[in-house]
Amino acid sequence: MNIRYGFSRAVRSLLTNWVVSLNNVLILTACLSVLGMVILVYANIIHFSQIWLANTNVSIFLKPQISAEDRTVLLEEVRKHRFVRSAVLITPDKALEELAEKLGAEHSLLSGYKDDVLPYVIDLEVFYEYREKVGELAAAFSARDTVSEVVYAERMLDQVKTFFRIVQGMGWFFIALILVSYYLVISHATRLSLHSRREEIEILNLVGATRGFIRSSFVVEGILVSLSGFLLALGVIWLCNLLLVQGLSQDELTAPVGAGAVFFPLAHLGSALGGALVLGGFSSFLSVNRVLRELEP
Amino acid sequence: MPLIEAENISKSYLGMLPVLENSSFRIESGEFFYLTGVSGAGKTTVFKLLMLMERPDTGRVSFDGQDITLLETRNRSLHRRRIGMVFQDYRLLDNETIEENVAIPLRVGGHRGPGLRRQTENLLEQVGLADRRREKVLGLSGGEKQLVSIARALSFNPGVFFADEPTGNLDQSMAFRVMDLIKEIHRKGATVIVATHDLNLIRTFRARTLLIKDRRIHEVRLADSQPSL
Ligand SMILES: Nc1ncnc2c1ncn2[C@@H]1O[C@H](COP(=O)(O)OP(=O)(O)OP(=O)(O)O)[C@@H](O)[C@H]1O
Ligand SMILES: [Mg+2]
Repeated sequence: MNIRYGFSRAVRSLLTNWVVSLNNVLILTACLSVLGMVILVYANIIHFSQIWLANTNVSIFLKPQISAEDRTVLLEEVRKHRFVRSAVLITPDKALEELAEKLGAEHSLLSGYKDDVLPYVIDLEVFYEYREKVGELAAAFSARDTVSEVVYAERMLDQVKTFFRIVQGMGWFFIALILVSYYLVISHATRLSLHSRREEIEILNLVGATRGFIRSSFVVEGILVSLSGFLLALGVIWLCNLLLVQGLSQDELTAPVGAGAVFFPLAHLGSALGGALVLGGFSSFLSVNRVLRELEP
Repeated sequence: MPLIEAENISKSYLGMLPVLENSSFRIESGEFFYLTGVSGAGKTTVFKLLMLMERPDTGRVSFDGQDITLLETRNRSLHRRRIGMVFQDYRLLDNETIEENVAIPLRVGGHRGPGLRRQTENLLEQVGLADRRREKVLGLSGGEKQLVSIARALSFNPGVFFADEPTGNLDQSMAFRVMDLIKEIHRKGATVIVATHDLNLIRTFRARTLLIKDRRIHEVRLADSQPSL
Protein backbone atom coordinates (compact mmCIF):
# COMPACT_ATOMS: atom_id res chain seq x y z
CA MET A 1 0.00 0.00 0.00
CA ASN A 2 3.00 2.27 0.49
CA ILE A 3 4.85 0.95 -2.52
CA ARG A 4 4.70 4.23 -4.40
CA TYR A 5 5.96 6.25 -1.51
CA GLY A 6 8.48 3.53 -0.67
CA PHE A 7 9.79 3.44 -4.21
CA SER A 8 10.21 7.16 -4.74
CA ARG A 9 11.66 7.59 -1.26
CA ALA A 10 14.09 4.72 -1.78
CA VAL A 11 15.31 6.14 -5.09
CA ARG A 12 15.78 9.57 -3.52
CA SER A 13 17.71 8.12 -0.64
CA LEU A 14 19.89 6.02 -2.94
CA LEU A 15 20.75 9.11 -4.94
CA THR A 16 21.24 11.34 -1.92
CA ASN A 17 23.52 8.85 -0.14
CA TRP A 18 25.06 7.72 -3.39
CA VAL A 19 28.47 6.98 -1.91
CA VAL A 20 27.05 4.51 0.60
CA SER A 21 24.71 3.10 -2.03
CA LEU A 22 27.47 2.61 -4.57
CA ASN A 23 29.64 1.02 -1.93
CA ASN A 24 26.90 -1.45 -1.05
CA VAL A 25 26.13 -2.25 -4.66
CA LEU A 26 29.80 -2.90 -5.39
CA ILE A 27 30.24 -5.12 -2.34
CA LEU A 28 27.25 -7.14 -3.46
CA THR A 29 28.53 -7.25 -7.02
CA ALA A 30 31.89 -8.59 -5.86
CA CYS A 31 30.27 -11.19 -3.65
CA LEU A 32 27.73 -12.28 -6.26
CA SER A 33 30.36 -12.40 -8.99
CA VAL A 34 32.49 -14.80 -6.99
CA LEU A 35 29.43 -16.86 -6.13
CA GLY A 36 28.31 -16.88 -9.75
CA MET A 37 31.71 -17.82 -11.10
CA VAL A 38 32.04 -20.71 -8.65
CA ILE A 39 28.60 -21.96 -9.60
CA LEU A 40 29.33 -21.54 -13.29
CA VAL A 41 32.61 -23.45 -13.13
CA TYR A 42 30.87 -26.08 -11.07
CA ALA A 43 28.01 -26.31 -13.56
CA ASN A 44 30.52 -26.78 -16.36
CA ILE A 45 32.40 -29.49 -14.52
CA ILE A 46 29.10 -31.31 -14.09
CA HIS A 47 28.17 -30.65 -17.69
CA PHE A 48 31.40 -32.03 -19.10
CA SER A 49 31.58 -34.97 -16.77
CA GLN A 50 28.06 -35.88 -17.83
CA ILE A 51 29.10 -35.78 -21.45
CA TRP A 52 32.06 -37.89 -20.52
CA LEU A 53 29.91 -40.27 -18.54
CA ALA A 54 27.60 -40.43 -21.48
CA ASN A 55 30.28 -42.08 -23.54
CA THR A 56 27.82 -44.72 -24.53
CA ASN A 57 29.75 -46.55 -27.22
CA VAL A 58 29.95 -50.31 -27.12
CA SER A 59 31.80 -52.61 -29.51
CA ILE A 60 30.63 -56.18 -30.06
CA PHE A 61 33.41 -58.32 -31.56
CA LEU A 62 32.05 -61.20 -33.61
CA LYS A 63 33.58 -64.63 -33.92
CA PRO A 64 35.49 -64.96 -37.24
CA GLN A 65 33.72 -68.07 -38.51
CA ILE A 66 30.09 -66.87 -38.48
CA SER A 67 28.15 -66.44 -41.72
CA ALA A 68 27.13 -63.18 -43.35
CA GLU A 69 23.52 -64.11 -42.67
CA ASP A 70 24.13 -64.54 -38.93
CA ARG A 71 25.90 -61.19 -38.86
CA THR A 72 22.91 -59.44 -40.43
CA VAL A 73 20.52 -61.16 -38.03
CA LEU A 74 22.61 -60.15 -35.05
CA LEU A 75 22.92 -56.56 -36.31
CA GLU A 76 19.14 -56.33 -36.69
CA GLU A 77 18.70 -57.76 -33.22
CA VAL A 78 21.12 -55.25 -31.76
CA ARG A 79 19.37 -52.39 -33.55
CA LYS A 80 16.01 -53.48 -32.15
CA HIS A 81 17.26 -53.57 -28.55
CA ARG A 82 15.55 -50.83 -26.57
CA PHE A 83 18.83 -49.50 -25.08
CA VAL A 84 20.38 -49.00 -28.49
CA ARG A 85 20.21 -45.74 -30.36
CA SER A 86 22.18 -46.86 -33.44
CA ALA A 87 24.45 -49.66 -34.55
CA VAL A 88 26.72 -50.24 -37.53
CA LEU A 89 28.62 -53.23 -38.75
CA ILE A 90 32.29 -52.55 -39.30
CA THR A 91 33.80 -54.91 -41.86
CA PRO A 92 37.48 -55.87 -41.58
CA ASP A 93 38.12 -53.88 -44.79
CA LYS A 94 36.69 -50.81 -43.27
CA ALA A 95 38.44 -51.42 -39.98
CA LEU A 96 41.71 -51.70 -41.80
CA GLU A 97 40.99 -48.57 -43.75
CA GLU A 98 40.25 -46.67 -40.57
CA LEU A 99 43.37 -48.04 -38.98
CA ALA A 100 45.42 -47.01 -41.97
CA GLU A 101 43.91 -43.57 -41.83
CA LYS A 102 44.83 -43.27 -38.19
CA LEU A 103 48.36 -44.38 -38.81
CA GLY A 104 48.66 -41.92 -41.69
CA ALA A 105 52.01 -41.96 -43.41
CA GLU A 106 52.96 -45.26 -41.85
CA HIS A 107 50.11 -47.15 -43.48
CA SER A 108 52.64 -49.17 -45.43
CA LEU A 109 53.18 -51.08 -42.19
CA LEU A 110 49.83 -52.71 -42.77
CA SER A 111 50.45 -53.76 -46.36
CA GLY A 112 51.28 -57.36 -45.43
CA TYR A 113 48.10 -57.99 -43.49
CA LYS A 114 45.17 -59.82 -44.87
CA ASP A 115 41.60 -58.83 -44.30
CA ASP A 116 40.80 -61.76 -42.06
CA VAL A 117 43.23 -60.68 -39.36
CA LEU A 118 40.61 -58.29 -38.11
CA PRO A 119 37.21 -59.49 -36.88
CA TYR A 120 33.79 -58.12 -37.80
CA VAL A 121 32.64 -55.63 -35.20
CA ILE A 122 29.23 -54.14 -34.41
CA ASP A 123 29.76 -50.62 -33.06
CA LEU A 124 26.69 -49.37 -31.23
CA GLU A 125 25.64 -46.36 -29.26
CA VAL A 126 23.36 -46.66 -26.23
CA PHE A 127 20.61 -44.10 -25.47
CA TYR A 128 21.80 -41.57 -22.92
CA GLU A 129 19.12 -42.50 -20.40
CA TYR A 130 20.24 -46.16 -20.46
CA ARG A 131 23.93 -45.38 -20.03
CA GLU A 132 23.93 -46.87 -16.55
CA LYS A 133 22.71 -50.19 -18.01
CA VAL A 134 25.52 -50.69 -20.52
CA GLY A 135 26.75 -53.58 -18.39
CA GLU A 136 23.42 -55.37 -18.71
CA LEU A 137 23.46 -54.98 -22.46
CA ALA A 138 27.06 -56.20 -22.68
CA ALA A 139 26.25 -59.27 -20.59
CA ALA A 140 23.26 -60.14 -22.75
CA PHE A 141 25.22 -60.07 -25.99
CA SER A 142 28.46 -61.61 -24.78
CA ALA A 143 26.43 -64.70 -23.86
CA ARG A 144 25.71 -65.31 -27.58
CA ASP A 145 27.79 -67.99 -29.27
CA THR A 146 28.32 -65.71 -32.30
CA VAL A 147 30.00 -63.09 -30.12
CA SER A 148 33.58 -63.33 -29.01
CA GLU A 149 33.79 -60.22 -26.83
CA VAL A 150 31.93 -57.06 -25.82
CA VAL A 151 34.06 -54.01 -25.05
CA TYR A 152 32.91 -50.80 -23.34
CA ALA A 153 34.34 -48.17 -21.02
CA GLU A 154 33.11 -49.79 -17.84
CA ARG A 155 36.08 -49.25 -15.57
CA MET A 156 36.63 -45.72 -16.72
CA LEU A 157 32.99 -45.01 -16.05
CA ASP A 158 33.35 -46.04 -12.43
CA GLN A 159 36.34 -43.80 -11.92
CA VAL A 160 34.57 -40.84 -13.44
CA LYS A 161 31.59 -41.44 -11.18
CA THR A 162 33.75 -41.33 -8.07
CA PHE A 163 35.44 -38.15 -9.23
CA PHE A 164 32.05 -36.70 -10.01
CA ARG A 165 30.76 -37.41 -6.51
CA ILE A 166 33.78 -35.71 -4.91
CA VAL A 167 33.39 -32.63 -7.11
CA GLN A 168 29.70 -32.46 -6.32
CA GLY A 169 30.34 -32.56 -2.57
CA MET A 170 32.99 -29.85 -2.79
CA GLY A 171 30.79 -27.70 -4.98
CA TRP A 172 27.91 -27.74 -2.50
CA PHE A 173 30.28 -26.93 0.32
CA PHE A 174 31.62 -23.86 -1.50
CA ILE A 175 28.20 -22.68 -2.52
CA ALA A 176 26.96 -22.95 1.05
CA LEU A 177 30.01 -21.06 2.30
CA ILE A 178 29.53 -18.24 -0.18
CA LEU A 179 25.79 -18.03 0.46
CA VAL A 180 26.47 -17.55 4.15
CA SER A 181 29.01 -14.82 3.46
CA TYR A 182 26.59 -13.24 0.97
CA TYR A 183 23.98 -12.98 3.68
CA LEU A 184 26.52 -11.52 6.12
CA VAL A 185 27.65 -8.95 3.54
CA ILE A 186 24.15 -7.87 2.67
CA SER A 187 23.00 -7.56 6.25
CA HIS A 188 26.14 -5.65 7.12
CA ALA A 189 25.58 -3.36 4.15
CA THR A 190 21.99 -2.64 5.11
CA ARG A 191 23.07 -1.98 8.67
CA LEU A 192 25.63 0.52 7.38
CA SER A 193 23.13 2.34 5.23
CA LEU A 194 20.57 2.23 8.01
CA HIS A 195 23.02 3.94 10.25
CA SER A 196 22.96 6.94 7.95
CA ARG A 197 19.17 6.82 7.80
CA ARG A 198 18.45 6.10 11.44
CA GLU A 199 17.53 9.73 11.96
CA GLU A 200 14.87 9.39 9.30
CA ILE A 201 13.37 6.31 10.95
CA GLU A 202 13.24 8.17 14.26
CA ILE A 203 11.53 11.17 12.68
CA LEU A 204 9.00 9.05 10.82
CA ASN A 205 8.29 7.25 14.05
CA LEU A 206 7.80 10.55 15.90
CA VAL A 207 5.37 12.01 13.41
CA GLY A 208 3.22 8.90 13.66
CA ALA A 209 4.17 6.77 10.67
CA THR A 210 3.10 3.16 10.99
CA ARG A 211 5.75 0.45 10.98
CA GLY A 212 4.66 -0.73 7.55
CA PHE A 213 5.09 2.78 6.19
CA ILE A 214 8.54 3.17 7.71
CA ARG A 215 9.67 -0.21 6.47
CA SER A 216 8.41 0.23 2.92
CA SER A 217 11.11 2.55 1.63
CA PHE A 218 13.89 0.61 3.33
CA VAL A 219 12.70 -2.70 2.00
CA VAL A 220 12.41 -1.24 -1.49
CA GLU A 221 15.90 0.21 -1.09
CA GLY A 222 17.28 -3.19 -0.08
CA ILE A 223 15.63 -4.73 -3.12
CA LEU A 224 16.98 -2.05 -5.45
CA VAL A 225 20.52 -2.42 -4.11
CA SER A 226 20.25 -6.17 -4.51
CA LEU A 227 18.92 -5.79 -8.04
CA SER A 228 21.75 -3.49 -9.07
CA GLY A 229 24.32 -5.78 -7.48
CA PHE A 230 22.80 -8.76 -9.22
CA LEU A 231 22.70 -7.15 -12.67
CA LEU A 232 26.25 -5.84 -12.37
CA ALA A 233 27.49 -9.23 -11.19
CA LEU A 234 25.68 -10.89 -14.07
CA GLY A 235 27.48 -8.53 -16.44
CA VAL A 236 30.84 -9.31 -14.85
CA ILE A 237 30.24 -13.06 -15.00
CA TRP A 238 28.98 -12.89 -18.56
CA LEU A 239 32.07 -10.95 -19.61
CA CYS A 240 34.44 -13.33 -17.80
CA ASN A 241 32.65 -16.26 -19.38
CA LEU A 242 32.91 -14.69 -22.83
CA LEU A 243 36.63 -14.02 -22.43
CA LEU A 244 37.22 -17.52 -21.11
CA VAL A 245 35.33 -19.19 -23.94
CA GLN A 246 37.17 -17.04 -26.48
CA GLY A 247 40.48 -17.91 -24.87
CA LEU A 248 39.66 -21.62 -24.96
CA SER A 249 38.66 -21.55 -28.61
CA GLN A 250 42.06 -20.11 -29.60
CA ASP A 251 43.67 -23.48 -28.98
CA GLU A 252 42.64 -26.52 -30.99
CA LEU A 253 42.97 -28.79 -27.98
CA THR A 254 40.62 -26.75 -25.78
CA ALA A 255 38.30 -25.56 -28.54
CA PRO A 256 35.62 -28.22 -27.95
CA VAL A 257 35.52 -27.28 -24.26
CA GLY A 258 35.04 -23.64 -25.19
CA ALA A 259 32.36 -24.43 -27.71
CA GLY A 260 30.50 -26.82 -25.42
CA ALA A 261 30.70 -24.69 -22.25
CA VAL A 262 27.35 -23.90 -20.67
CA PHE A 263 26.07 -20.59 -19.27
CA PHE A 264 23.30 -20.26 -16.70
CA PRO A 265 19.91 -21.29 -18.02
CA LEU A 266 17.34 -18.48 -17.94
CA ALA A 267 15.14 -20.27 -15.42
CA HIS A 268 18.05 -20.55 -12.96
CA LEU A 269 19.00 -16.92 -13.47
CA GLY A 270 15.41 -16.01 -12.75
CA SER A 271 15.29 -17.91 -9.50
CA ALA A 272 18.71 -16.58 -8.47
CA LEU A 273 17.44 -13.05 -9.11
CA GLY A 274 14.32 -13.79 -7.11
CA GLY A 275 16.44 -15.16 -4.27
CA ALA A 276 18.74 -12.14 -4.28
CA LEU A 277 15.81 -9.71 -4.21
CA VAL A 278 14.05 -11.56 -1.42
CA LEU A 279 17.27 -11.69 0.58
CA GLY A 280 17.89 -7.96 -0.01
CA GLY A 281 14.39 -6.98 1.02
CA PHE A 282 14.32 -9.33 3.96
CA SER A 283 17.60 -8.22 5.48
CA SER A 284 16.50 -4.57 5.20
CA PHE A 285 13.27 -5.55 6.86
CA LEU A 286 15.15 -7.15 9.75
CA SER A 287 17.48 -4.17 10.16
CA VAL A 288 14.63 -1.65 10.24
CA ASN A 289 12.81 -3.80 12.75
CA ARG A 290 15.86 -3.78 14.96
CA VAL A 291 15.90 0.04 14.96
CA LEU A 292 12.15 0.19 15.54
CA ARG A 293 12.47 -2.13 18.50
CA GLU A 294 15.09 0.18 20.00
CA LEU A 295 12.68 3.08 19.64
CA GLU A 296 9.94 1.29 21.58
CA PRO A 297 9.09 3.18 24.75
CA MET B 1 -12.75 15.84 31.31
CA PRO B 2 -9.27 17.35 30.84
CA LEU B 3 -7.64 16.83 27.45
CA ILE B 4 -4.30 15.91 28.96
CA GLU B 5 -3.92 14.45 32.40
CA ALA B 6 -0.89 13.07 34.21
CA GLU B 7 -1.60 11.29 37.48
CA ASN B 8 1.16 10.48 39.96
CA ILE B 9 3.77 9.86 37.29
CA SER B 10 7.30 8.89 38.22
CA LYS B 11 10.10 8.55 35.73
CA SER B 12 13.73 7.62 36.07
CA TYR B 13 16.16 6.69 33.33
CA LEU B 14 18.07 3.46 33.66
CA GLY B 15 20.48 3.65 36.59
CA MET B 16 19.89 7.39 37.22
CA LEU B 17 18.17 9.38 39.95
CA PRO B 18 14.46 9.88 39.25
CA VAL B 19 13.57 12.88 37.09
CA LEU B 20 9.95 13.01 38.17
CA GLU B 21 8.30 11.62 41.28
CA ASN B 22 4.55 11.35 41.90
CA SER B 23 3.77 14.32 39.74
CA SER B 24 0.36 15.25 38.44
CA PHE B 25 -1.06 17.95 36.18
CA ARG B 26 -4.09 18.44 33.99
CA ILE B 27 -4.62 20.59 30.95
CA GLU B 28 -8.01 21.41 29.50
CA SER B 29 -8.66 21.46 25.79
CA GLY B 30 -7.72 24.78 24.16
CA GLU B 31 -5.43 25.97 26.95
CA PHE B 32 -1.96 27.49 26.57
CA PHE B 33 0.63 26.36 29.13
CA TYR B 34 4.27 27.05 29.69
CA LEU B 35 6.40 24.27 31.10
CA THR B 36 9.46 25.60 32.82
CA GLY B 37 12.29 24.56 35.10
CA VAL B 38 16.08 24.66 35.17
CA SER B 39 18.15 22.72 32.67
CA GLY B 40 17.84 19.03 33.34
CA ALA B 41 14.64 19.52 35.36
CA GLY B 42 12.72 17.21 33.04
CA LYS B 43 10.83 19.39 30.54
CA THR B 44 11.78 17.28 27.55
CA THR B 45 11.04 14.18 29.59
CA VAL B 46 7.45 15.37 30.12
CA PHE B 47 7.02 15.73 26.35
CA LYS B 48 8.49 12.27 25.81
CA LEU B 49 5.92 10.86 28.21
CA LEU B 50 3.07 12.72 26.49
CA MET B 51 4.24 11.51 23.06
CA LEU B 52 4.74 7.99 24.38
CA MET B 53 8.41 8.05 23.42
CA GLU B 54 8.99 6.97 27.01
CA ARG B 55 6.71 5.20 29.47
CA PRO B 56 6.32 6.40 33.06
CA ASP B 57 7.62 3.97 35.70
CA THR B 58 4.39 4.43 37.61
CA GLY B 59 1.27 6.51 37.16
CA ARG B 60 -1.00 7.25 34.25
CA VAL B 61 -0.88 9.61 31.30
CA SER B 62 -4.18 10.08 29.57
CA PHE B 63 -5.57 11.97 26.59
CA ASP B 64 -9.35 12.44 26.57
CA GLY B 65 -9.50 10.06 29.51
CA GLN B 66 -7.74 7.26 27.68
CA ASP B 67 -4.54 5.90 29.20
CA ILE B 68 -1.96 6.29 26.40
CA THR B 69 0.66 4.14 28.11
CA LEU B 70 -1.47 1.15 27.14
CA LEU B 71 -1.52 1.98 23.41
CA GLU B 72 -0.11 -0.63 21.05
CA THR B 73 2.09 0.26 18.06
CA ARG B 74 -0.66 1.16 15.62
CA ASN B 75 -2.66 3.32 18.00
CA ARG B 76 0.54 4.88 19.25
CA SER B 77 1.17 6.09 15.67
CA LEU B 78 -2.33 7.53 15.50
CA HIS B 79 -1.86 9.22 18.87
CA ARG B 80 1.28 10.94 17.62
CA ARG B 81 -0.54 12.24 14.57
CA ARG B 82 -2.83 14.27 16.82
CA ILE B 83 0.19 16.13 18.13
CA GLY B 84 2.36 18.62 16.30
CA MET B 85 5.70 18.79 18.04
CA VAL B 86 8.68 21.11 17.70
CA PHE B 87 11.68 19.29 19.11
CA GLN B 88 14.41 20.95 21.09
CA ASP B 89 16.98 19.51 18.66
CA TYR B 90 14.70 20.18 15.63
CA ARG B 91 14.82 16.59 14.39
CA LEU B 92 15.16 17.59 10.75
CA LEU B 93 16.81 15.69 7.91
CA ASP B 94 19.83 17.85 7.15
CA ASN B 95 20.42 16.43 3.69
CA GLU B 96 16.89 17.06 2.54
CA THR B 97 15.32 20.27 1.37
CA ILE B 98 13.12 22.44 3.56
CA GLU B 99 10.16 21.42 1.45
CA GLU B 100 10.86 17.70 1.79
CA ASN B 101 11.20 17.96 5.57
CA VAL B 102 7.91 19.75 5.93
CA ALA B 103 6.23 17.21 3.66
CA ILE B 104 7.17 14.19 5.81
CA PRO B 105 4.06 14.12 8.02
CA LEU B 106 1.85 14.85 5.02
CA ARG B 107 3.30 11.87 3.18
CA VAL B 108 2.75 9.76 6.27
CA GLY B 109 -0.86 10.91 6.15
CA GLY B 110 -1.14 9.68 2.58
CA HIS B 111 -0.94 12.99 0.69
CA ARG B 112 0.59 12.90 -2.79
CA GLY B 113 1.25 14.97 -5.86
CA PRO B 114 0.01 18.53 -6.44
CA GLY B 115 -2.14 18.53 -3.29
CA LEU B 116 0.93 17.73 -1.23
CA ARG B 117 2.94 20.46 -2.93
CA ARG B 118 0.23 23.05 -2.37
CA GLN B 119 -0.07 22.19 1.31
CA THR B 120 3.68 22.28 1.83
CA GLU B 121 3.89 25.66 0.19
CA ASN B 122 1.05 26.90 2.33
CA LEU B 123 2.82 25.78 5.52
CA LEU B 124 6.07 27.37 4.43
CA GLU B 125 4.29 30.63 3.69
CA GLN B 126 3.01 30.68 7.28
CA VAL B 127 6.59 30.66 8.58
CA GLY B 128 7.92 32.89 5.78
CA LEU B 129 10.16 30.31 4.09
CA ALA B 130 8.16 29.65 0.92
CA ASP B 131 10.73 31.13 -1.44
CA ARG B 132 13.56 29.11 0.11
CA ARG B 133 11.82 25.74 -0.02
CA ARG B 134 14.42 24.12 -2.29
CA GLU B 135 17.31 24.87 0.07
CA LYS B 136 18.83 22.11 2.13
CA VAL B 137 18.30 22.23 5.89
CA LEU B 138 22.03 21.72 6.46
CA GLY B 139 22.87 25.34 5.67
CA LEU B 140 20.13 26.93 7.75
CA SER B 141 20.62 28.93 10.95
CA GLY B 142 19.19 27.68 14.25
CA GLY B 143 16.23 30.05 13.99
CA GLU B 144 15.45 29.00 10.44
CA LYS B 145 15.55 25.36 11.46
CA GLN B 146 13.14 26.26 14.26
CA LEU B 147 10.75 27.71 11.67
CA VAL B 148 11.00 24.64 9.43
CA SER B 149 10.31 22.49 12.46
CA ILE B 150 7.23 24.57 13.29
CA ALA B 151 5.94 24.32 9.73
CA ARG B 152 6.34 20.55 9.88
CA ALA B 153 4.55 20.36 13.24
CA LEU B 154 1.60 22.28 11.77
CA SER B 155 1.14 19.98 8.82
CA PHE B 156 -1.53 17.73 10.35
CA ASN B 157 -3.38 20.80 11.51
CA PRO B 158 -2.97 19.33 14.98
CA GLY B 159 -5.33 19.80 17.88
CA VAL B 160 -2.37 19.59 20.24
CA PHE B 161 0.86 21.53 19.77
CA PHE B 162 4.04 21.00 21.80
CA ALA B 163 7.13 23.16 21.45
CA ASP B 164 10.32 22.28 23.34
CA GLU B 165 12.47 25.41 23.77
CA PRO B 166 11.23 26.89 20.49
CA THR B 167 13.12 30.13 21.11
CA GLY B 168 16.23 28.64 22.65
CA ASN B 169 18.64 29.65 19.94
CA LEU B 170 16.94 32.76 18.65
CA ASP B 171 17.55 36.48 18.95
CA GLN B 172 14.72 38.51 20.40
CA SER B 173 13.03 39.51 17.17
CA MET B 174 13.12 35.96 15.83
CA ALA B 175 11.90 34.65 19.20
CA PHE B 176 8.97 37.04 19.12
CA ARG B 177 8.14 35.99 15.60
CA VAL B 178 8.09 32.33 16.62
CA MET B 179 5.95 33.10 19.68
CA ASP B 180 3.51 35.05 17.53
CA LEU B 181 3.18 32.00 15.32
CA ILE B 182 2.52 29.76 18.29
CA LYS B 183 -0.04 32.20 19.72
CA GLU B 184 -1.73 32.11 16.33
CA ILE B 185 -1.89 28.31 16.45
CA HIS B 186 -3.44 28.57 19.91
CA ARG B 187 -5.91 31.21 18.75
CA LYS B 188 -7.10 28.79 16.06
CA GLY B 189 -8.06 26.35 18.80
CA ALA B 190 -5.05 24.13 19.50
CA THR B 191 -4.04 23.10 22.99
CA VAL B 192 -0.47 24.32 23.39
CA ILE B 193 2.43 23.51 25.72
CA VAL B 194 5.66 25.48 25.32
CA ALA B 195 8.70 24.43 27.31
CA THR B 196 11.17 27.20 28.07
CA HIS B 197 13.52 28.38 30.76
CA ASP B 198 13.36 31.92 29.47
CA LEU B 199 11.47 33.92 32.13
CA ASN B 200 11.44 36.99 29.93
CA LEU B 201 9.49 35.11 27.35
CA ILE B 202 6.91 34.03 29.92
CA ARG B 203 6.58 37.61 31.19
CA THR B 204 6.16 38.96 27.68
CA PHE B 205 3.64 36.42 26.46
CA ARG B 206 1.80 35.66 29.66
CA ALA B 207 0.06 32.33 30.17
CA ARG B 208 -0.46 29.65 32.82
CA THR B 209 2.82 28.05 33.82
CA LEU B 210 3.84 24.63 35.09
CA LEU B 211 7.16 24.54 36.95
CA ILE B 212 9.22 21.40 37.41
CA LYS B 213 11.14 21.68 40.63
CA ASP B 214 12.53 19.01 42.93
CA ARG B 215 11.10 16.26 40.72
CA ARG B 216 7.56 17.61 41.07
CA ILE B 217 5.33 19.59 38.74
CA HIS B 218 3.39 22.54 40.20
CA GLU B 219 1.39 25.33 38.66
CA VAL B 220 3.01 28.65 39.58
CA ARG B 221 2.48 32.36 39.13
CA LEU B 222 5.83 33.84 38.24
CA ALA B 223 6.26 37.27 39.77
CA ASP B 224 7.63 40.07 37.60
CA SER B 225 10.45 40.54 40.04
CA GLN B 226 11.45 36.88 40.18
CA PRO B 227 15.04 36.80 38.95
CA SER B 228 15.36 33.08 38.28
CA LEU B 229 13.70 29.67 38.53
N1 LIG C 1 17.70 9.02 27.46
C1 LIG C 1 18.19 9.39 28.65
N2 LIG C 1 18.94 8.54 29.35
C2 LIG C 1 19.44 8.88 30.57
N3 LIG C 1 19.19 10.03 31.14
C3 LIG C 1 18.42 10.93 30.52
C4 LIG C 1 17.88 10.67 29.24
N4 LIG C 1 17.15 11.74 28.84
C5 LIG C 1 17.25 12.63 29.83
N5 LIG C 1 18.01 12.17 30.85
C6 LIG C 1 18.28 12.86 32.11
O1 LIG C 1 17.05 13.25 32.66
C7 LIG C 1 17.13 14.55 33.21
C8 LIG C 1 16.07 15.42 32.58
O2 LIG C 1 16.35 15.60 31.22
P1 LIG C 1 15.46 16.51 30.27
O3 LIG C 1 16.04 16.43 28.93
O4 LIG C 1 14.05 16.11 30.44
O5 LIG C 1 15.68 17.96 30.88
P2 LIG C 1 15.20 19.37 30.34
O6 LIG C 1 14.42 20.00 31.42
O7 LIG C 1 14.56 19.21 29.03
O8 LIG C 1 16.59 20.11 30.17
P3 LIG C 1 17.00 21.28 29.13
O9 LIG C 1 16.39 22.54 29.62
O10 LIG C 1 18.47 21.32 29.21
O11 LIG C 1 16.48 20.84 27.81
C9 LIG C 1 18.54 15.05 32.93
O12 LIG C 1 19.30 14.90 34.12
C10 LIG C 1 19.05 14.14 31.86
O13 LIG C 1 20.42 13.91 32.04
MG1 LIG D 1 14.96 19.72 27.14
